[in-house]
Amino acid sequence: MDVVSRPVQEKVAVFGEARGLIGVLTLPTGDPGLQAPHVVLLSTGILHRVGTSRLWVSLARALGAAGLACLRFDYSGIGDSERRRDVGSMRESVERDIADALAYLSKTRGAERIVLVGLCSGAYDALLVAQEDRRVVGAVLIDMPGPFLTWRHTVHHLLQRALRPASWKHPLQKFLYHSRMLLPAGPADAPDDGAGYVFGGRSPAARERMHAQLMRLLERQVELYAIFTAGIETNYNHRSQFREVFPAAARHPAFSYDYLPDADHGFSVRSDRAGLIAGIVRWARTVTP
Amino acid sequence: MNPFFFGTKERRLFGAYDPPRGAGRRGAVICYPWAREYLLAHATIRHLSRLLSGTGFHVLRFDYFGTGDSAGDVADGGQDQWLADVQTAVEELKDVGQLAQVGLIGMRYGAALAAWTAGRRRDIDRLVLWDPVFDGRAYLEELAVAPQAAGAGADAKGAVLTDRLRHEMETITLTSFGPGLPRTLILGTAGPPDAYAPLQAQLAGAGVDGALEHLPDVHVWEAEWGGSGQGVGMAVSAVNRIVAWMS
Repeated sequence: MDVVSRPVQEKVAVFGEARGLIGVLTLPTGDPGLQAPHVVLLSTGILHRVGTSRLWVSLARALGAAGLACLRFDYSGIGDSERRRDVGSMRESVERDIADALAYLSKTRGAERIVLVGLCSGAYDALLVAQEDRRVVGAVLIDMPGPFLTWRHTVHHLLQRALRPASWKHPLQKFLYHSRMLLPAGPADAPDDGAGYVFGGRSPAARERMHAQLMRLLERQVELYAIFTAGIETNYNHRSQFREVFPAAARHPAFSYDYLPDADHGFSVRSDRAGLIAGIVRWARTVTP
Repeated sequence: MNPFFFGTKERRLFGAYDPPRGAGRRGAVICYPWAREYLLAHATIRHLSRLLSGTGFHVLRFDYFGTGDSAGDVADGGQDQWLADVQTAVEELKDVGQLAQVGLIGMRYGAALAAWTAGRRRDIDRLVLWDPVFDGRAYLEELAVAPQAAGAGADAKGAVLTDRLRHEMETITLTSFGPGLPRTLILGTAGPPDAYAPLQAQLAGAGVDGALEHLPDVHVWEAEWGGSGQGVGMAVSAVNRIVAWMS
């Protein structure tokens, strides 16, 4: 990636419980100004802070070049960070890790305004942490898991499959499957992995919960930038899908949105990474007063 | 574990140093695989590093220039630079641990870099080649390289493969291994038991004290891609075997 347009400085960050959390802090060489937010890049699943396709390194340096300090770090037990001993559940551990990262930036950098960036599970982590932490003024939610399935998604899905002869096998089995997808949503159709991540489904309860989470932030004037790919096509596959599920959030002035239909979930293609990074840097400048 | 940057101002490398438990007088530099294999194997390499330090080794694992957390971009680097990075890491660990000799452990592409380095130094006492790449052309096929516009290199599952790097990788052949290597373990966890027999024969012909062991285990550098992109587990048996052999 040749997205870095001016030099940045990077240094190792060690913080958290027993100084067990490891990260890298990217600093702009110029003075970012007191009001410029600090950006925190959150872990994706069990991948460490470098990120899929080195995405977080490239993004951190691009944000640094744009004048924004950026911390990428490993959740406890992932990458180089130690496993926490002071918590029980994975959800609690993740939330404490992020709280420690924000505390580190506040203490060492005087950071009062934070932007969280997450991909996949990290996006949902950002959404949850932002609920309670008033330092969070913005969040980038990339391919956030959620109850996004709609009848229109199913139609898109079936149309795309119909164009692939290989998908015509087992027609009865597939008819039954898609018939189920088109039935009215029930309360139990949104699988939850126990850590709060909801993958797919159309559960009214899950939608109501995520709607409340989104609106709570937007009404607090937290800037949200949701980005979706069609990388997990069974969950998300057309541009208007977010608006169909969460119309009030989609039309809120603090909400921004992009759909990248050609990108895969891991942004394994260089041009897709460059486009994503350029979009986030452009958006981040709007959060900077 | 002590994370730090080392190397020159122009070529800052990210390293993770695990000090030995007790007064260890031996050392090991671990060479990661490349591209997505690096990302997927990271947890296993970290586990290996910890176990080695627990048995009294000074251990340094590090990111090549333009990869991982190290400075630069792949387009700025290449195989010649990465070979220089391995040498820098060896010097760094010798300095940190006050060691006269260290071992080198390399996985996949990192094994090729480790072997090249070990063949040109006198201060490498042991070498582990974990599922080594010994045929650069075959390796490039495995990477499923997607060509880009002329002069823009290619995408190799999340990594940028410049034209120069591709040519450099194509030069990796059996003859890249030996002579002059120290005592060597070839550990094969993938493929049939004789997958690395040609490499063993090459080392034997070069007069290297080389052992080949086949130990089926998780291929930690592989994962389903385009979906979750997550790793597939930890190669516990392979790690334990390497620690035992090094010790």
